Amino acid sequence: MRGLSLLSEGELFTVDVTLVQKIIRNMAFTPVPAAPPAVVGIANIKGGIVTVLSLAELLGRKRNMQAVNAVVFKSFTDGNDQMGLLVDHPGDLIDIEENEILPPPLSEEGGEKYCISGMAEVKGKLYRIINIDEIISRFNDGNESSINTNTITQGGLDNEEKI
Amino acid sequence: MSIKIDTSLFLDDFDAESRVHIEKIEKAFLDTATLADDPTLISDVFRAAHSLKGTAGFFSFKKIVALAHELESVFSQIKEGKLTVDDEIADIALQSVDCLKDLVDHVQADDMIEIDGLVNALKNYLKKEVDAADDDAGEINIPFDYNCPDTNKMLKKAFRHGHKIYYVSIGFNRSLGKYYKNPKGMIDSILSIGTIVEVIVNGNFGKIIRQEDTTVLADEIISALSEYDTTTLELLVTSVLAFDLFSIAIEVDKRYIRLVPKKNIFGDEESAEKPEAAKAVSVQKDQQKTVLHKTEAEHEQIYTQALARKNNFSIRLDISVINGLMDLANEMILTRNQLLSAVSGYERSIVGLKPVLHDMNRLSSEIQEKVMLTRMQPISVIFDKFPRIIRDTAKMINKDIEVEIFGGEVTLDKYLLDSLADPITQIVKNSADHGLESAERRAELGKPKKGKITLNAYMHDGFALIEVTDDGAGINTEALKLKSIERGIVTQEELETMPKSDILALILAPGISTAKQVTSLSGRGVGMDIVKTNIEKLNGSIEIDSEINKGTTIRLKMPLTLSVIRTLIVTIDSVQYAVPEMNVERIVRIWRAMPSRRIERLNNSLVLILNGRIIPVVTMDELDAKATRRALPSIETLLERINGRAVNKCLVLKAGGKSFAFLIDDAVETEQTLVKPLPKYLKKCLCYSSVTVLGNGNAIAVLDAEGILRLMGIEATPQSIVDEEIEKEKKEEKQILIFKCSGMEYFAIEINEIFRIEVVDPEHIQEIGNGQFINIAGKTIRVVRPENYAPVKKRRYTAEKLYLLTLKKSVSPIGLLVAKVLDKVAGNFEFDDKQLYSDFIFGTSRFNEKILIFLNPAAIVEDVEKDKQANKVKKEGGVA
Repeated sequence: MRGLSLLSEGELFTVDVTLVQKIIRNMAFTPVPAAPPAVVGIANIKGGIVTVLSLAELLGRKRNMQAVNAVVFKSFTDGNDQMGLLVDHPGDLIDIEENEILPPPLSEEGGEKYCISGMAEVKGKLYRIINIDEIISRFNDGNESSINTNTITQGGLDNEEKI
Repeated sequence: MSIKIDTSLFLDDFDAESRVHIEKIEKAFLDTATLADDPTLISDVFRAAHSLKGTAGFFSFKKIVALAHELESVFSQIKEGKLTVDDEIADIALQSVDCLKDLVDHVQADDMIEIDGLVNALKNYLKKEVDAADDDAGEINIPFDYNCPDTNKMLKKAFRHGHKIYYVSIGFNRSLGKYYKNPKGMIDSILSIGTIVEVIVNGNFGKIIRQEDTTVLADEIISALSEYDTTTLELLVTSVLAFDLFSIAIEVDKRYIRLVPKKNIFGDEESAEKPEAAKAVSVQKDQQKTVLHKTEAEHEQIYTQALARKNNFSIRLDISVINGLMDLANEMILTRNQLLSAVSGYERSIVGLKPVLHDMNRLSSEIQEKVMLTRMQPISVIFDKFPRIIRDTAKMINKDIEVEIFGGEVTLDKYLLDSLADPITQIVKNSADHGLESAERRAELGKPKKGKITLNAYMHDGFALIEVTDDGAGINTEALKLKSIERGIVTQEELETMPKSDILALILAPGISTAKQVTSLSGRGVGMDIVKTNIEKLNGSIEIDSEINKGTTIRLKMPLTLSVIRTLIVTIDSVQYAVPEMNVERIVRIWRAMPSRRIERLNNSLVLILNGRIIPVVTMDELDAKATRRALPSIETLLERINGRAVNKCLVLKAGGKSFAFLIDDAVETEQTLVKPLPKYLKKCLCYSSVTVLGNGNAIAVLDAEGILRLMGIEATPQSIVDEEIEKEKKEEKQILIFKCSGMEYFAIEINEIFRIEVVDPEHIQEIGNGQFINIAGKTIRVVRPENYAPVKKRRYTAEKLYLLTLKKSVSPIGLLVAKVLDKVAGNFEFDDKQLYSDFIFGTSRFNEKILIFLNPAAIVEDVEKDKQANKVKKEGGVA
């Protein structure tokens, strides 16, 4: 797997680079009050609406004001639901051997427990691998009231099948 | 070498084109009443069949060609007035349409699709109907004398035996033997299928042969023919065979044969036996036919025009092309903005730059708008399918149903339309199957036998509403309650406090069906659940109205996914939001000097008192807290914030009959915006309906007035209070002064805001700093031009005499400089602040057909004071 390294609050993370559409430095966005805490705002990128989420918040930490660069991910559905993660610093490309991926640390709490799918050591540095699908689906599950959860998950599954 | 490869390239085109033709035929036959009356339509349908045949022929799709050919024949008869459109042909035509669709779907593998049945049905219909039609046909002029006793007797006898009477007229040329090499052969074949009553050789000047002995007759005819080189042979023949078969049997082209109508021979004595009504019908038909023939050329012209129009104004495009264009247009707007900011300093130094930039600004905005519109399609794309679906459904469940369609012109984003087709179909099928009662039951209830399903679409409050209404049995709420308890969806206690609308909504829950039996169409209680799920996926909601024995309306309320709406851009805490203009009742400025509008604490909430109306106040802070389930900001903090400002601004927003005041920092402008669906990450906010991209490229959220009402739990203002307000408003009559400034506009100001009206000489006005002042009776008065505070042009005064309206509520004396004081009137003025907007005017109002601009003196005073303060600060800064 080819990963893009991300720096958030001094910690190293990585995401599958094939999921990344582009990196935007000094991302400009419009804040959206009344949105869940992880949503920092919305932005117009090439005519499409990208919702900008804070990686720190998603992992259950306080939002880091230094995070100004966004990693915009490819759209997973045909809707208007493109997502970008706000991080301190998007870094380099790293090569991760699939068979060297370690299981996620057991001690993780909160969002981190679900959003980290594994760990990898590359050139002496330890990266946590972020599971984007999990982040999105958990985000949406948490977003719906209990009655609608069913239908929404179903919708999600349908979409995946289509892909 | 095979040409198959070449044609396969055009298969997509064939597919698209043939579908257009087939749909045209289908649509026409679904409304047979209109089709029968509209020769243009018939002509259209005929051409559709013809073109279909042609294109299919190009690809050698033999089955399509065969079927289209038969359809074409039938249509051509209708077109010529020989056939009338009835239910039978409509049925056959629609079946053929289905078959054609199948064939088009499987062009490469049409072996399995059977068309012989339909081809025969069409052929038979044609035959039968042509006969019938010809029986009805008007008199034809033939040279035989029916009244000759012998002939008449023979004809009568023939009629009694079910014979038809034909008039055959053929030209003969012995040398060429043009039509028949052997006249004897023809006579023999005629004699083998019928009798020859009379023969005329060589027209009026020739010989009449009447001979009962057939062998002698044939000889006589031949010998008579032999006397002429070129002649005509006219025969009066009786035969049991129908027209087509007769023509085939005697091997003579139909052109030379006419069927002689009964009444032509027996005159009025026989036709008098016909019922009057039937006669009337036939007369009418005759008239119709003549109309048809007369206007044929006209129709041709109309058709050609229509065709030309169509070719010019409609093309089929892949949706990805349009999406690509949209992205590019948006990109262009962004680049434009970058350019504008990059050259902003050079507008003066580069000659002609400003108009060019201005033009580019406008053009790029227009391009973006137009490109957006390309994705919009009228809802009739879906609605038009329903007459057919309902017709088929009605046949299947044996009910008589009529369809009414309204609002087909409402345009929606293609994506939304595509996703709506299935849910609407399900609802319509439900209405037909469960909603409408059986014909017997309807008769018992005294309802018309024919059930009615109405489809309606309209836009309202930023939503597209689609209604399916039936005039059927209505939803039995009692049965629904029982079923819901049985299924464990609700408890008895819950039901007792439930409003009717919520009880009706239970029908959408999975597994609920009040149908007593499951039919082929529905009744398992799954359908509506799926509809609900699909509609909710699109962010829509479903409302149900129902009354026992009156009917049911199911209303789909869809947020506009992609549409251009006018929005007001507002800022709150330096974040911009868009508010759909249709929700904005008015923009209100509140300041202390104006007691008729104020924000007050009422119990534990804030209300805006606006001319006696009590309107709940909502702030963004509250929305934020409510949506993220945090503690609401205390009333004290809110009040403190409001009181801390000299002027508060709020929008009075209305939705669904309720209003609330929404506190804003500023209203920036109104903009035509492209509304995009709300990202799923923002659905929990509940206070946004969509997002939009502004002209400057910023993405902002669109506030949803209805959602805010729901989120904040705001109820409609009780009617009693509303009534009181209306009373109060009525009593509140204002005395105003109407005046003109340097332009043509009429201004107005409340008289009790004015201290005095002074006449001044413009020469005496002095310019000091950036203000103008005048001395009147020892007092220095600041002169203010009202034009500076309203969106109007300011011109230089040339008059020798002007007026100065000095204002009451100012700290230092301020006067408005006006050209002419026109009138003083009293009245009740409703302000419209949508057309003209400025911080310094209340809005516009009409008086005697003139538009008055109502100045807001307090705001002007405030501005002047601010200006004074700013000057002071500057001076101090300068000294330091």
